Amino acid sequence: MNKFCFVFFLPIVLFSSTVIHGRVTDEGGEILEGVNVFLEGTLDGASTNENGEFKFITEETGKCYLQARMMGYGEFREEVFLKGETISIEVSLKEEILEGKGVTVKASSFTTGEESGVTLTPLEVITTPGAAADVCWAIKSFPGVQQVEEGAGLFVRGGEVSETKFILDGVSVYHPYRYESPTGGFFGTFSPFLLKGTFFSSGGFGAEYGNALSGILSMESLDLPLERSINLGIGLANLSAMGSVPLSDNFGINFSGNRSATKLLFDFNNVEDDFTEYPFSYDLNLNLAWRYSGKGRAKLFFFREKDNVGVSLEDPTWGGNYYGTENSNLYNIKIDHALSDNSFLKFNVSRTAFDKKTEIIAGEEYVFDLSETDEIDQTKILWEKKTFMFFKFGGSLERRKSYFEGFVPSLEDTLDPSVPSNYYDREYRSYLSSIFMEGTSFFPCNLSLTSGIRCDYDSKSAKNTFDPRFSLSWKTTDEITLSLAAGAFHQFFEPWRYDPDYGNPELAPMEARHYIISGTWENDGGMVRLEGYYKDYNKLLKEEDSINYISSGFGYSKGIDFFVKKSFKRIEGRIAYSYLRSERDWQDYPGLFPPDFDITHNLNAILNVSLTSFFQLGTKYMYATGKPFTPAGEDFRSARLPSYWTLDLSASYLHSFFGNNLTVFYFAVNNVTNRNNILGYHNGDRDEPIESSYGRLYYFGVSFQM
Amino acid sequence: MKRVLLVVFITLVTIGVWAEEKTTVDKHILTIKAEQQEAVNKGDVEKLKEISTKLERLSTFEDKEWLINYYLALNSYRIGTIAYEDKEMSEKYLESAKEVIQKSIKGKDDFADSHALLSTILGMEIGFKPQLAMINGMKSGKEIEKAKKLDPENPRVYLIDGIGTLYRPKMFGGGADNAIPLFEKAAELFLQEEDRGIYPDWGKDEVYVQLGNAYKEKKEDSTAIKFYKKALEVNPDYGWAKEILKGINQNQSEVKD
Repeated sequence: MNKFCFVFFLPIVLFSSTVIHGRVTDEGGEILEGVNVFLEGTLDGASTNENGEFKFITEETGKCYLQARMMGYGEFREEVFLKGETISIEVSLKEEILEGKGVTVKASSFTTGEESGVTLTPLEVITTPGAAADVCWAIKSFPGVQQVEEGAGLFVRGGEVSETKFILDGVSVYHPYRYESPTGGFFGTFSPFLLKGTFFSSGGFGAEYGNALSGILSMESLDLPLERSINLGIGLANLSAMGSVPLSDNFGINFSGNRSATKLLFDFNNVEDDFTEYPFSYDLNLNLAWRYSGKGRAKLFFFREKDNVGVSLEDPTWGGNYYGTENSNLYNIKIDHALSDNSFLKFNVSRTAFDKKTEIIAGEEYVFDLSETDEIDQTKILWEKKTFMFFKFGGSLERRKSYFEGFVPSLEDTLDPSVPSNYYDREYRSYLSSIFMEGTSFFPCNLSLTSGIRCDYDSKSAKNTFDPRFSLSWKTTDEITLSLAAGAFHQFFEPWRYDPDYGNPELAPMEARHYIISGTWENDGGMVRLEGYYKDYNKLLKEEDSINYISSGFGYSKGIDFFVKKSFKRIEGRIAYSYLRSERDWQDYPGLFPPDFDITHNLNAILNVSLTSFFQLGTKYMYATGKPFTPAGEDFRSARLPSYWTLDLSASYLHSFFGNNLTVFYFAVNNVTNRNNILGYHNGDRDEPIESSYGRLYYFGVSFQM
Repeated sequence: MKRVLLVVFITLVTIGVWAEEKTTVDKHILTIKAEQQEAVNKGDVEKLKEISTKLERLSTFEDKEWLINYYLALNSYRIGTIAYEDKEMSEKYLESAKEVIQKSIKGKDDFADSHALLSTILGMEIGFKPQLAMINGMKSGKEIEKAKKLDPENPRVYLIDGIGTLYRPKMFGGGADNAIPLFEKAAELFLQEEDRGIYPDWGKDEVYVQLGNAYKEKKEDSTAIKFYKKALEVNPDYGWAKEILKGINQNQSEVKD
């Protein structure tokens, strides 16, 4: 307090005055105007001018505290010693997140509020160690997603990979993975740099999302660019360029191109691989954003991707090569229009064109040779009203045409040159129409209830589904939210499953029910969430001799997810742990048994440390219980693979070479300990393990921002 | 002896500084109160912002922090209402007003004026976030009831209750007919209110503007004008009343033309 200044230093420095001056900026170095800078316990002070500068004179002496305050920013307080000499101070204010900005925490999802303040920003994707700047890989480090395969596939809470649906700007993405495989694919299709944000829900999601049994990954593409920027990147396995160009106040372009080739990466790391053609892909994206009036904006998103890979297959009885090529195109027009201050209309038209060729050749002979094309047209309309309750009403229509042509082995799941092939030439057309409605009411005591209903009709199965969904959220204090969610979810099969020759036209849509209870504690810089769930599965696919498949499969999954995230000064860490029990009686199972994706314990621990403002280090430890498998000569699924774990490290360094240009150098080591993870056993024989080809892997690159 | 004298001297100086400072805070509050009234008269947002910086500094004097926070919240509330057309700014200041008045209540929770101010801020927040209508409506009602219990003779409590009632939909017990008796009661209590010194005493003029607004809502324009004029009688510098009357005069002359 200033009285001490008076009392103890009065005789020594009587009548001496001190000039205090300096500048105030925010964390990002932006100048702040109108900041109140003053000496605590006095009226001596000044407000910063348009250059963020302040200057004032004080008669106070001795030890005092300087404060800087501005609405929307955290308080600054620093000790100063006044002895008649000029004091110069640089003040940095930290932006405060305003509470109560319509934040609704729903069970199982990682977002704050609707489509705003999405938790996973592109930067978070890139700074997740071991995630290879891939959205799906980053999502895999969140709770509720199990590590089943070494790829991007999202297996959510005891659900199969196809049960997680991807959405871009409101429309369904039918081929969300690159290098597609039965367990998803190796990477996600969309680069994080094309996205504004990502919303992920591991269950209990709203009525707007349908035809998905387990999870939702909804992505929003970039908006109207505010300033011009060009970014070039070069790394051991990829070349990329991207840019944002505002052409006028209301019109702008975002574009990007990536070319990724892995040969150099594998050669550099001396990886003994089985590639006959190294994985190669390129993608191009053009995104036009137009604000056509104060009330609306339109966005055109065009995306094209191509990838191919060749791998030699080693089977104990025969050898051969696998070749895969994929082409994927997506066009989407989205219009957001405000009808009034509180009602909004969203409209989409989109087209997807996808083709894929898969070949397996043993010597001269084709074991498998299939071409697939998939064309999907979608339109969606959504009306939202936000008054004393939030209301959503909408519908969508999807038309799909799939075409398959080629030779496939006559015995399913059997690849062997000695098995005769069948010629396959089929076209399937189907329609999926949906309507949904959802309302959120807010009650006293910070209670909010969301209830919704969704109906889908699929022309191939000629069946209707009807999904009621509820979620209740109670903000008990400013920091604690309790939620309950329950709902019914349906998913239709791929069209070919209804083929009378290869499938069964009578198949019913698969069903799941979710029951979720969750508690979240959140405050400045920290979050803890504990969630328990139970899911009931019905009408799953079950193999049947006379009519291929029937809808009599069933199963359940239950578990606990735990998530904690905390940042402390220069350190930011998060831990995601999932406990899961899942069993199914489906496919060719002789009863209720754990499927591949029954991973009991799954742990991801991530730590990022900013050593300086320019230098960041990150590390990730991932552990997953081994998958169940059937050992040769033993009971069905009676054993588990050894547990899977990896330790990844990453480092990035920011440097500015000329003026405002920013250069980022990054370096990563995946699987630092060179852990030899076992992915399975040939024919269940423990002496013939299938080992992961990813030992310790070094990766580095540089990105220039202009 | 020298040492004793020194101790006595230091003690006296300390007490003296302490006592001096106490009265300093009161003196500052009185000055700022007058400045605030003048800025409100003129609808001068810049001046109000300047007052906010002074109040922020004063709040670190460790004396009557709750009361200084009351004035700081009132100041932000004034900025929020005067700048109502600038939604973003208005919302920002009301948000801050809410935060600060809650802090003031934490420091002293039996001051009726603070509860009344919180009540009206919660009501205004509904304008920006309609989804809060039910929650804030209820909280706002609770606060005004608390204020009435704490100080049943406080005219500002009835004035604020009246404002809340006037802007509340009829189906929830609002509307001009329900608001007028509250304003009348406030006006009556204002006549009896004695000098409050450093404590808040605003509203003597505003109550008549609000009465005017209520009658305007009822389409009884001549009664409304009577009250607007009355507000000017109470405070001849009251900008809001002047502006409303100017608007009415212009309208009337346009109609005549």
